[in-house]
Amino acid sequence: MDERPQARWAESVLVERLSGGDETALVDLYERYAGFVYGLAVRTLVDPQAAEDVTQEVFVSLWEHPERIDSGRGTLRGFLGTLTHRRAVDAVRREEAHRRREARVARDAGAEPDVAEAVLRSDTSGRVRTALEVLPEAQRRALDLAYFRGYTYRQVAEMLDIPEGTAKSRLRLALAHIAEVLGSEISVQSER
Amino acid sequence: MNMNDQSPMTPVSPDDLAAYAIDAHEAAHADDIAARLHASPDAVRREQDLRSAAGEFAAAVVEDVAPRPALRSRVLAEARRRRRPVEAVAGSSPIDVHRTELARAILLLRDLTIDDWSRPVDPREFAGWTVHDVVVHLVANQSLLADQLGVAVPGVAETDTDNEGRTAQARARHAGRPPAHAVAELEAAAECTDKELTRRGEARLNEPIASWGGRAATRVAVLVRAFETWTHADDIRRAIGAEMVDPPPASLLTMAHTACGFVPSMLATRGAHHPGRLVRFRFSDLGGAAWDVDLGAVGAVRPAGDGAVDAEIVAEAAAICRSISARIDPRELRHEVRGDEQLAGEVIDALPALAVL
Repeated sequence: MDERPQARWAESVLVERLSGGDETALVDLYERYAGFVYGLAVRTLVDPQAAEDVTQEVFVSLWEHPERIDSGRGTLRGFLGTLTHRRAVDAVRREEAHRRREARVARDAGAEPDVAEAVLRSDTSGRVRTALEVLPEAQRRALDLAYFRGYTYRQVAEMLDIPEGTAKSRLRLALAHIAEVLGSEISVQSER
Repeated sequence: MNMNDQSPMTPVSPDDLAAYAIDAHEAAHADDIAARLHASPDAVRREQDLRSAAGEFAAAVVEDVAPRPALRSRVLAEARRRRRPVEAVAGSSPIDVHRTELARAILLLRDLTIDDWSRPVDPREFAGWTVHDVVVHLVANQSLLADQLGVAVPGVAETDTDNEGRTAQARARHAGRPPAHAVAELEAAAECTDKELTRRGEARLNEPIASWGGRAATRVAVLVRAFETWTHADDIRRAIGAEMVDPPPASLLTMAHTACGFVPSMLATRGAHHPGRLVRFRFSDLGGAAWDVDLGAVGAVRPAGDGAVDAEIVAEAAAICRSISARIDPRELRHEVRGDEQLAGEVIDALPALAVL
């Protein structure tokens, strides 16, 4: 079957109900995606309290502005990933959250493998695994630090002891490769 | 060169665009890039593609982590504060009920694990069936409704117009195929049906179509499909150890209303006839919504008025519906009766009389 991410009918019905102000649609949305949203937020923020705040903000903002979802392109889960990541990074950059996170990172150092590594270790198959298998480890590592841990490219460069330009190039190459493999077509209206 | 020195017209480099798409710039630089992006629609599109790809990537690789249960009520309370939900003061259109229940069931199926698909289901009419078999049964009946509306579902080959016969054909075709195929077919059939119903509009819901070996108004056939889908979704939830889930109140209101109209048929199946007698159903989970059912005529349901009735049954609409689908034994139905207890007892005992596969 085609694994290409695309919006499907059932998800678009859920979005339609959300737009219509049906609170049970929000419950359905939460039941289905809270684990993913919180999972991504806590991975980025490390701090469970801050991750809960981001999770709340993601669901409430969708309830307030369901028109920001274009269910004609991409998956709803992917859209939530985009939204969650942006909110989580915003939180990381705020001073207090940053301080708490760094304290936890220092405490839990080495406890968690990077996301890509975990996928490769698992028995997952399909496009994502294929994408990760051919992604050079240097690019994978840069993407993990920047995307899943919320570091800026400058911090990534410092952590990997590489020039800033190289860090950015690695991010671009990794992202371009993943975009090509996943063939993402979702349209997300900018919040900024 | 410092990016802050660049003019708004300087194009954003591919490297900066990628870093921006994953929010890997400091805030000041991000603002600068945002300003320059606005000058180039192509760059905006590219940035959105990259950002979306990253979101899809996260969707594919990040494992779910359950938040604390208390977060759910916190989220709902804050959501209500920021945008008031629409109250279900009236039932949804049958078209909306069908769309909602099918979509909810499909989302449930998408979340099943490989192990879930082979779990046994418990209703006695499904002896030996797995979750996969139940979903194939739903595919058979959904594609049958599509056929009856004159719409072909791509990939579905079944031709039998009998419920059990068509299910047997579908099970034979799906034997050995991955469960994802059944989900895809169910979604395709639901989408086709929904599109056709929407195209026809509310005005044609009273048109009769072939249904269950006879003919029925389109609205009834569509609501029966929604009702059965909810029922089997709950069968699947039970099989995987999940809580049963009620439909949204507006859907439940419409389904319960239509189900009440069949009470005379349920009684007739048990050999009971009570022409001229009235029973009031009052639903405690739907804000006390109540209907008076004329036991002498199928479909004679009207909003409860001030007039006297022979008996009043107070219960949750969801529980009444589950008794109708034989998922709750009428003897275990929580309810109160006012008036003729014997008549009310007969009605309650007869609720599952029309439940079939």
